[in-house]
Amino acid sequence: MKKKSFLAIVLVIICSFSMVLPAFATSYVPFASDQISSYSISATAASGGKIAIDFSVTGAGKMSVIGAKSIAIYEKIGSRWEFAKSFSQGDSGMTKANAYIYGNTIYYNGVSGREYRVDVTVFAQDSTGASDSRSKSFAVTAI
Amino acid sequence: MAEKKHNPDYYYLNQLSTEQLEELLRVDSVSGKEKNDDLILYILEVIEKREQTSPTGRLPDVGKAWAEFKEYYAIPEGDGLSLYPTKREEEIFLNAREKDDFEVQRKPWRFMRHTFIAAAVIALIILSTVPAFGYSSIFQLIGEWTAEQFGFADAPRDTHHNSETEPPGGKNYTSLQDALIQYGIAEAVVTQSIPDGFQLEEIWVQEYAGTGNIEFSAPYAKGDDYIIITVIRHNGQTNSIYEKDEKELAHYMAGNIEHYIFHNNNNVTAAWSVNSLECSISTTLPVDELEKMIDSIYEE
Amino acid sequence: MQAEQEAFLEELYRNYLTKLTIYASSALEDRSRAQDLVQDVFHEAIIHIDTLMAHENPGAWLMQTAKNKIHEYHRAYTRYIQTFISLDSFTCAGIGSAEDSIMKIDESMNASPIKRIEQILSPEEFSLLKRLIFEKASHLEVAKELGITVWTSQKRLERIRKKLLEIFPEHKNKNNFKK
Repeated sequence: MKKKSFLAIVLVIICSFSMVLPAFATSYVPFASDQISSYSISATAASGGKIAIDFSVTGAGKMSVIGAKSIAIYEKIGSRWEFAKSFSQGDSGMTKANAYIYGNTIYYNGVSGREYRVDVTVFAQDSTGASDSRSKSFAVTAI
Repeated sequence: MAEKKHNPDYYYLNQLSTEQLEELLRVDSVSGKEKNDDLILYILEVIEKREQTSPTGRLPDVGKAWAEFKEYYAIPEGDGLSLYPTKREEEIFLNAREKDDFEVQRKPWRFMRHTFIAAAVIALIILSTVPAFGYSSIFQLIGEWTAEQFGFADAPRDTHHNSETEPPGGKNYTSLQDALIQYGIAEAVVTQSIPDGFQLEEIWVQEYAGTGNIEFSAPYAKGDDYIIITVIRHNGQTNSIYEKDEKELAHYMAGNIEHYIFHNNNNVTAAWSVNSLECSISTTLPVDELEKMIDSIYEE
Repeated sequence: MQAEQEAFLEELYRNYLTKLTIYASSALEDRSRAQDLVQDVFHEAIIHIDTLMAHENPGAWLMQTAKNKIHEYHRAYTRYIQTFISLDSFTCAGIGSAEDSIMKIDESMNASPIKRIEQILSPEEFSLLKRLIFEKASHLEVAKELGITVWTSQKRLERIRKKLLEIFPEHKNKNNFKK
């Protein structure tokens, strides 16, 4: 049965190539960015209940401000999610002025075994005042 | 309309173009009446969201359509009639249940229908990602992209990396190459040829405690032009996302390594992976200048 | 319809028109025909409005109705017309000229099927058939062009179908085309 299934899949893939080959083109306008070239965000459990939030942003040139716009942390207590802590761009270690790239690790002191949701927004603002941002959310269980 | 929770297994569909997603819808319409509403609803929502952001005429003018409906279709002359008759209206109420939009009682997929659609998606992804000159296996492919973003999939761990290497005590680096050497990175990843007139702005090194990654960056500037060289040493998992526009991604081979070249509006970036290093050069210069910088990495 | 029913239908319409149109356009590969079909789905909803208002999942009903109509369209409508007229020359690009296809259909007959059809139908009927089937116009487009309702357009197509069955009685059972 496995051999038959595999053969069926192979045959259908071969047929699919003839079906899909003519229709290979993107047609929608993507987002791109005039301020952000690349970024990375992660949130991981560190020892002692801590949550380590790493972020990095590379600008599309020298930016007047670059880094993390906000970090919001929610903790699950029982079956409910409650706001725990937030960091904003004015807090220490969140941004850098007049830079091409900036990144850092921000720590939150959580409680071992507790579930957290971490929402991170990074951004870059150029000299004209135009800015762009990107966000990611993570589910983390503190250890 | 309440937002439906989506199965993360469908997220790969975001890699497909709208035409490719439409082809999957067409396959669904001709291959029988088996229920796969979750998948279809996901595809419809992806297309709808794309069109709301960047219209290409696929979405109807709801107000106009409603007016036409009242004027041309919902009139007494049409009572009891159907423009596109079916014989199964009475069966519909037996099939439609559940509380969520379009979600009906799931029936097991027929094997061939499931296989057909899955294989069509696999074929589309293969065609979207395998470079022109081919890989012996698609699992060797480490770059993944859509029309909006580029990123690397999990790259092989650097088995030669000595995890007990102490980070350098000093923070003064004379060059990017110097910083890499101080961290024990010996691979050839730094361009040896920066175009005339560009000044090094800084050598930036950041260690990330959460992921264990180390990021090295050297931006150069000349007037409004810039070159940013970045090297990330990771532990097998990288989560960098590069912005890109709709221009097609290009492949550039140098030093027996595949470099991905893509545009982000007025900038162009080359990204590549070497062992546990993710490298990139972003610049406002033309692609041929970028290629020269890449070539210089491997010159002896 | 009562005011409450119309309000319900309008809400349903505004919530589901877009997705149904995207699906139908992909399935039929023709936007105006797809819009026609989706309008017909909502017209069906009028007939079943009381049941829909009490239904747990009216969206699923709409989608299933659309799929059924599309399925029937693919199976009966297009194939039926193609069988009558062997529409290779009109609907499938690149399969040869109109004259070649017609000659291949039935060289033993005194006149080609197209010629026979032209003889039995009035010029207006033939023009409507050409417009709806060969040129894939929607009933709405035809209605606007001719200053008639979509239902008149549909009824005229039904009359044409019955006339064609008289010309080609051998196709009655072939297509299982039931009235």
